[in-house]
Amino acid sequence: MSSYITSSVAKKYIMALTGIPLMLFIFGHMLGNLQIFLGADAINNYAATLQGLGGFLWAIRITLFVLFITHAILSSILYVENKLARPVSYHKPATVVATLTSRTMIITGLIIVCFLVFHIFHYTVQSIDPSFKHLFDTQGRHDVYTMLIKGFSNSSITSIYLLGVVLLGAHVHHAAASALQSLGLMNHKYAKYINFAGPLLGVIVAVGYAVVPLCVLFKVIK
Amino acid sequence: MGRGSFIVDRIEIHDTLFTIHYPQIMNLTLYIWRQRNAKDKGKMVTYMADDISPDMSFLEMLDVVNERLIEDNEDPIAFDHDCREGICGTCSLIINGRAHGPEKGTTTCQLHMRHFKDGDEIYIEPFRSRAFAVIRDLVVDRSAFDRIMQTGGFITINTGSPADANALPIPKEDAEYAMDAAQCIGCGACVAQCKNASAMLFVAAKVSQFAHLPQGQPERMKRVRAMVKAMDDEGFGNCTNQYECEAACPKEISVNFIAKMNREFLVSGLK
Repeated sequence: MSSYITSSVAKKYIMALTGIPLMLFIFGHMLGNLQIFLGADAINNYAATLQGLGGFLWAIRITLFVLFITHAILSSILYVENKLARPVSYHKPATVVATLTSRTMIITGLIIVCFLVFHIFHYTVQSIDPSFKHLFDTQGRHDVYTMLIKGFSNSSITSIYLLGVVLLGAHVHHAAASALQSLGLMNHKYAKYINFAGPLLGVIVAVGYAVVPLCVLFKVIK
Repeated sequence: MGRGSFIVDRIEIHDTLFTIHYPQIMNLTLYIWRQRNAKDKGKMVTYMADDISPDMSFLEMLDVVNERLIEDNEDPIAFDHDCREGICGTCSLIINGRAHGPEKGTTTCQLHMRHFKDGDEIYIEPFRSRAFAVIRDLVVDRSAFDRIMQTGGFITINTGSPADANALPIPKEDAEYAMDAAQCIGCGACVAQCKNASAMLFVAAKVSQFAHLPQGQPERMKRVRAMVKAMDDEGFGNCTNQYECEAACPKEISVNFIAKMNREFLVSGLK
């Protein structure tokens, strides 16, 4: 059994099985964020509902953290193994079909780790701007709407977010279809649809996340 | 006759128009990896390949270069070749960063010089992988593939008289699917082109070929486990689904076979 788990194919499964829930979370989080366009009440109510989950919210957070750490550590191991598999590189290397996003997964992944740490300290722990902790709406709920307006009105902060979410989209651009290939769910009938939908999902993630800070920065949302 | 193989000139003599065909030649600059043996450090060496016909194959061009090197009392460039018909999988070479050169679905031996231009600079390197050690110049040791095949790339049968034709009916779709996988000639281009030097496409083709035939069923699960283990033990890299292998494969083996192997391996773990 140990040789099964440590095999190159099983490592692909683990990358896919840890990545798919993270992608579902990314998509769910994006839909949650987009509620800002429904007004302050909608997004504050959504945030209060999430906070009301209590222990279940922590169970989700811990699960996501374990998946994220496993995904990150395994990808680092795979990166080193892959570098060792070709000790002498080509004098004139060439790329035929590999996309830019597929070739930069380790770079986008590392930047996403840094971005995620910043994001958690910014909006979850709220230690970068502690005034976020004292924002409440008329119903006494945490005023997430005002927090987002305050946060994204700062062009430096918004720039960091734009970089982070575009790279997140780039990561998903390769990851979505790749995960299905790794799990053996690709075949000649569905390949063309999956290879179209996967990268499209990456674009949707980048645009879906970027639209909120951009709308705040350009005062479309006030 | 290749397009642009001849320079056409017309001259008029005593009111008669004559058409003269001059064979067009190419002058190329080659940067070739030279390495005396496995222990030698090796380096890129520049050669001028003048008066090359566009109708030569790439290997014939190297033959001409070698003849000139021998005339000059220099060591000829070692490179692998055998059938020169694109079916044996012996020829290799990374040509300007691409396994078997720039033409899709073409082995180096079937690549013709008409796909290059006069004055081109061509980098020629051996297939690079930890599992493919350089033996000399452009020749690499691809016996890692043989060792993988020895662990499961066969069907165990009792030897004796061949079975009657059509004694074992196989649906046409299955036969064609298995044939698509069986087209793999084991040249190693997939490994050479892959950014991670992964052998997944090769192993996937061999696993899929037998997994779709009734003869392959008894050893199906054992085969995929053994061949994947052998592949990992040889030190090939991991697949990151970039599909450079499929693009470089001279037999255009589909990466869908890798998904097939992933399914086979998953099922083998559940049994």
